[in-house]
Order: sequence, then C-alpha cells, then structure tokens
Amino acid sequence: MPQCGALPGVKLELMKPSLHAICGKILWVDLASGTFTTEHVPSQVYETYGAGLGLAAYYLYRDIPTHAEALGPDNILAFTSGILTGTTSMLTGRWTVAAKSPLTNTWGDANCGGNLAPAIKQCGFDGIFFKGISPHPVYLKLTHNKAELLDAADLWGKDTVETENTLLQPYGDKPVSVACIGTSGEKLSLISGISNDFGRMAARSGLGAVMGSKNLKALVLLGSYPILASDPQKMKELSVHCVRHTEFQPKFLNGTGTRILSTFLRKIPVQMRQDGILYKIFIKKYGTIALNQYSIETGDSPIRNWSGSNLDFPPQRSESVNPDRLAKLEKAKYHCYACPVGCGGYTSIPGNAESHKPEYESVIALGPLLMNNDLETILIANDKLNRAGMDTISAGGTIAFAMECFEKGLLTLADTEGLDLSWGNDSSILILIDRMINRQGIGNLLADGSYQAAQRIGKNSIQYAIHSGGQELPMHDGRNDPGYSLHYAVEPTPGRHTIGSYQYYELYQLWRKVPDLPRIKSLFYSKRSKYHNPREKAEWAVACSQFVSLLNAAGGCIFGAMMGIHRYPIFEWLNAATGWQKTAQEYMQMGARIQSLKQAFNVREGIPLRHTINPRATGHPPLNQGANRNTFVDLDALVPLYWQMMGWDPQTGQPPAPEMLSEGDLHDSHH
Amino acid sequence: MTHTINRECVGCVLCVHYCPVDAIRGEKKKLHTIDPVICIDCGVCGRVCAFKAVEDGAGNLVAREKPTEWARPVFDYQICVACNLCNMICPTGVIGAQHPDGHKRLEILPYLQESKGCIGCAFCESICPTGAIEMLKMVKNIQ
Repeated sequence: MPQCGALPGVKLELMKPSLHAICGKILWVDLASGTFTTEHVPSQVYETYGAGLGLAAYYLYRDIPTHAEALGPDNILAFTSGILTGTTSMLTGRWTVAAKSPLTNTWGDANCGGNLAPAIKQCGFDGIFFKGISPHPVYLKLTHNKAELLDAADLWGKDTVETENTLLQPYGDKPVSVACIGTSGEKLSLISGISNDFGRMAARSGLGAVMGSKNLKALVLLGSYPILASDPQKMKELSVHCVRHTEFQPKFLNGTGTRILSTFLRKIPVQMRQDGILYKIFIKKYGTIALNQYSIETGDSPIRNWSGSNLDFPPQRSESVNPDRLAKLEKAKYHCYACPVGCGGYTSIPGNAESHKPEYESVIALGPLLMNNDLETILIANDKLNRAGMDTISAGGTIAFAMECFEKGLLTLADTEGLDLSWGNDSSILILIDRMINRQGIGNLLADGSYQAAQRIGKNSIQYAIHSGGQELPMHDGRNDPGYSLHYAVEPTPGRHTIGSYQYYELYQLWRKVPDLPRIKSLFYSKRSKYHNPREKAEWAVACSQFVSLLNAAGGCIFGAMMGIHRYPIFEWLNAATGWQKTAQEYMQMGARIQSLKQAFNVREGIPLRHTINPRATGHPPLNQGANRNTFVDLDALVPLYWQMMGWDPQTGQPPAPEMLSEGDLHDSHH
Repeated sequence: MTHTINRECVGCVLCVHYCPVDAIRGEKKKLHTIDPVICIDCGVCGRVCAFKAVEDGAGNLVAREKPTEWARPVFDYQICVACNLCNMICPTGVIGAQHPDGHKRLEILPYLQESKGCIGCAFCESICPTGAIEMLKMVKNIQ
C-alpha cells in the first residue's frame, strides 16, 4: 500500500470550459490507493439531473453497491457544486455533500453555504467523489491542475476551527477554501457533520462520520479558474434585479415587535399569507434568530422534547433569546459567497471568544426544547458543537431525549455518573455536550443520536426519541404546519425542514412561473383549513420537493427562493448561465427526476419508504393546551396522495425506473 | 475568439509568467501559443508584450502598458452589498475581504489586498451587481 503522504502530486487535465456554467467533469479520489481519476460527465446527465445534488444522486446511485456499509469502503462521499455556483447569479453559493447516511441508512445529503461551493468549480470540477478508506489520516489539496493527498496526522484530533486555521496558515490572505471534520466526525459519531468557514456546518444525515470513516480530515481547494456563463449580460441583469429587492430594508421592525406580532397572530383564528419580502427583511437584519420568539409564540417551535407548548415557555422566559439581545453581541456580519442578504454573523461569546452566530434551529434545540433559557449556555454549547463538528439539531434532540428519560426514571444518576439531567439544568447541558463530543460515559451512549441510544437503553424509551427514520426532527412543529410532518415522513432524506411546508409554498410563490400550480389567492385563511383538503396540500408538497431538488442542483439558497420566485429568478438564471432553453416546467421535471432517483436509492436499500415518525410529533395524542392544542396530522391521507402526485406508486411509494441508469450502467469500471 | 499571438513574438516568456490560468505554451526564444480553451480573455499577455505580438478576439493589437499604470479596482463601500462575487472572479486572487477601518458597516467587505498582483483585467468591475467597483488608474505625484 503506498503511503499517501509521500505520493507526488498528480497533474490533472486542465479544465475545458466548453460547457457554459458547468465544468463537464468530476474528480474521483480512491483513498485506499491514493489515486485520482477524472471522469467526463456526459452533457445528457446535466440536462437530466443538473449538477449539485442531481450529479451526486446520479453517481452515488450508479456506484454505491446495494446494502453497502455506510461507514465501510464501498460508501462514496460526494462534494458537489451547483449549476449556478460561480456564475454571477445571487444567493447561489451552496455546496452539497452526499453519501449513504450511517444515521438513517437511507440516502443522505446535506448542504451548506460559505465559500467552498465556487472553490470546487474553480478547481475545474463539478464534484469531488471519495471512495475507499485511507490507511492513515489524510487531507486533499487541490488546485486547478494538481491534486495531492497529504498526511493529516498532525491535524487528527484538532477541532474544526483549529484545523482550518492550521491549513490556511501557509496561504496568508489568499482566498483558499477548506472543508473539514471535527473530533466527533473522527470518533464516528453518527450525528456529526462537515464544516467550512470556521464552523458552518453541513450537519445533517451524519455525513461527518462517513468522512471520518474514510480517514479523510479535510479538503483544501486552491483553484482560481473563473466560471463562464453563456449570456453574461443577461446574468448580470437578473442579478441586479434580485439585488434591488434585497436592498429594500425598512428599519421599523425590532425584536420585541416580532414577539408582539406573533402573540397577536396566535390569538386570531385566521392566518395571514406570508410574503417573502417581510421574511427577507428579518433575515437580513438578524439572521434566522429573528424567528426565535416569533416561532415559540406561534407554535412553530417544539418545547420540552415536543411535549410542551408555548405556554410552558412564555414571552417572559423566551425574552433571553430575543433577537435584539443576540444582535447586540454581533461583531461582524457574515455573507456566504454571492449573497447580498448576509444572514450570518460573528458573535462574541462568554470567555472573550468569537463564534458564528447561532441559527434559529440551534437556539431552539439547545434552549426551549430543553426548557433552558440561559443565552450564555446556548452560545457556548453552539460553539462547542460547531468546533466538534456535531449537528446542533440532533445534539439538542438527543439531550432532550436523555432529559425525558431521566425524568421518567429510565436513566438514573448512576447511569449519568452523577449528572442531574432535570429540565433546563444549564450546567448539566454543557457537561453532557462535552461528554458526547468525547464519547465519555453517558456521552458515548448518546453520541450516535437518540434513536440509537433508545435501542441500547430499551425499556420502551423509544417513545421519547422524537425522530424520523432515525434522525432527530428539526425545530419546526408539524402540528402547527402539517406540511413539515409530510416532508419529514416522505423525503428520501428523512427529517428535513429545508424542503417544504405549507408556509414555504406561500413564500416560494411558484405559481407565478410554473403554470398549473395552485395559486393562494386570499390574504387570510382559517387556521383550521391547514388540516383539511389533503389533495391540495399534497400538491403543494410535491411542488416544494421538486423545486428544492432543483434548487439544490443549482446550488441555490432557500432564503433566496423564499423571497419569491419573481424576485429570485432562478429559472431565467439557469437558462442564461447554461444556454439551455428550458421552461420552468421542464426545470421542475428535472427536480422531480432527482427526487425520484433519491427515492430509487432507498427502494434498492429496502428500507421503509414512509419513515417512522414518533407519533408525538404528529399530534398523536394531541396537546391539550397552547397554540397547537387539539391539532394532529393525518399522514395516512397525505402520504399516498404525495406519492401518487409525484408519479410514484400510491401504495408502495415505488418510483419509476431512473433515467440513464439501466442495469448495464450500474457498477461499471469504478467497482 | 480569444486572444492570439502573432508572428512578432520573440519568445521572451513574459506573458507566460503573467498569465493567471497557464493558458500560454511556449519555450524561450520560440513562438508562443495561447490555448483558446483555457484562455479567459483577461488580456494581460498583450499589456505586458513589448513586441506588439498579442491580438485580441477582434484581431486588434493590444497596446502595451506599464504594470504601474494599469487601472486597479476602487470600491465604493456605500453601495457594496458584500456578495463576494469580485473576490471569486478575480483570476489572480488579490481581492480579499476584511472589516474596513473607520467604517460603520458590520459587513466584511472586499478590498484590493495586493495591488502589485492585480493584472487590471476589470473582471471585478464587470461582475459587480451594484456598480460598486470602478477601475481607476493610479495618478502619480498627487500634491
């Protein structure tokens, strides 16, 4: 076995930008032998599945053998970049990482902003695919004409921020992009993710463990090749149009205003149709934390491991996570590549350190979900998890599970080594996070998520693990917006909040560009109507799934899409960038093909296509107080309709045979 | 059509050194060629050529300019939206991002971190969606 650290760099074929916006090739890295292969991607693949998520789906379906072990050598880890990334479009800088998930044993993908996405294409590749397992820790260094696997022994054991600092040190101020795992990925924690830009995480599906299992610590991308669009003038016109909308920023809204507004909205029996521009104003001013109190008040945030309601966490208690409080700590704004909105930020945290501003999901998962209202604890816990490379949503969900088990007597002080896991005990939360990161004692039990922990604890503790298909649910309550529950249950990647819900459908306003999609005409509608008319709701969900699959293939950001499709002209950008002449409907079909291909991956794995969701999260039994009292989601009615409208078998969820992937194409020379 | 090198080339390899994407092939004292597939039309080869050997896509000779006289980007932070497109498109990677001194904005904004490395291609100016970048020539002897 050659020592990868001693391998000379391999000269790569220079990029051939004969295709506009896309590079036309991908890089295969065989970690076992330390060899590199360039594979040209037929243009038909791009036309069928796009790039980004679609490209990953195509090659992973083709090359991962059935029932491959997720943490074994046969699993493939893909880093891909979208069609629009690197062209001059706005809010299109997200990279996708995909592999078979070790957490759910289904298709697994996660995406993240930052500056890594254009860097992949600037090295001349639409994707970097890793297979095999390296005999010792390595990292990949890639420029537009040279690839090297270098020894990472010194980096092993370092957290994400230290790793990135060490890797960037030799390059001074040069724009270099790094993706890496922290210590929890190295320790194969099934809820670990992959970080870039000092702790921004592609966190879900446990893909950090896949990277750790391959002994791959980091990617360092140094390419600087410009990406060309077919019609640069049109691209710029469209970008100017988009930027003009993002610049509209009235100053009258503040954090307390969001709370008062949300209490009012909770008390009235009707719900207002949302327009994305309002959402954009909040996001640009505060980031996703703008929704902290708003979501708690309106019943969107789960409280007390999904068993409580907004009345258990009233405004007096949630005042500590008021967006104005967090905004005061913000030292600098953080923009991803190609983003004029800039929802991120650097925040000072206790101990005179700086860290990424926590997201809404992290604040709720480490706050109200655990009945914790101490902002310092949330900030420190968020920083610890980002540094260790652990998913804040899953970590919060797992701690909530442990706390409920402790309350119900399934975990005792002897099990927790003296740690008092009663609700809201902030010092215990921090100690428990440390133990989970280091896999010590009770932390070892919890480091693989609540579902795995429940299997080991037994005693019917699974009823307290709020999961979908094995992954902890995000901080959006399906009892308040049943669209979330539907997507948690039917998406090929279970338990994801970044794809669709009824509110997302309102915000995307897809009907403005895609004919035949139902338009939401009235400004107000009854709150009860959310639980009726499953046929219409399934149609909305199908549109969201198709659109977001396309968005992920284009490298687009969901916050751009939430401004409304007329302000975020993604279909027009795609045509101007690639030179294709596709209609919006054809692009939606591209999204549908990606979704079906991911579903086909799960079919081949033989896992249940309707993921098991903890019944508590769908209102079985329903809550008896608060914003979501007496509401429940009828997934039995929604799921078959979703499958049917997706073009899948309404009884079994079986999709049609994937295009361009007949038996002959599978398991070719790469195996 | 991309930039091309005509018969006037004497093979001084100056353009080879300046090309940010390694598109120019050629040995010392031999005629150089530009790979049209790799060339990004930044035109730096023409601006450094002392022998009038580089033509642009339309067939016009590219005039020589001293590197110290090349136009370089100047940023207007009043209208910059911190989208980082300029940072990404810069073929030489000399545009960095930092917190500008003495400015009230919270954003981390682009700046020219190494004016010597800038090749004056103006890609940043053309890509900016708000017109916040202007290419200006440095004026000597400002009193």
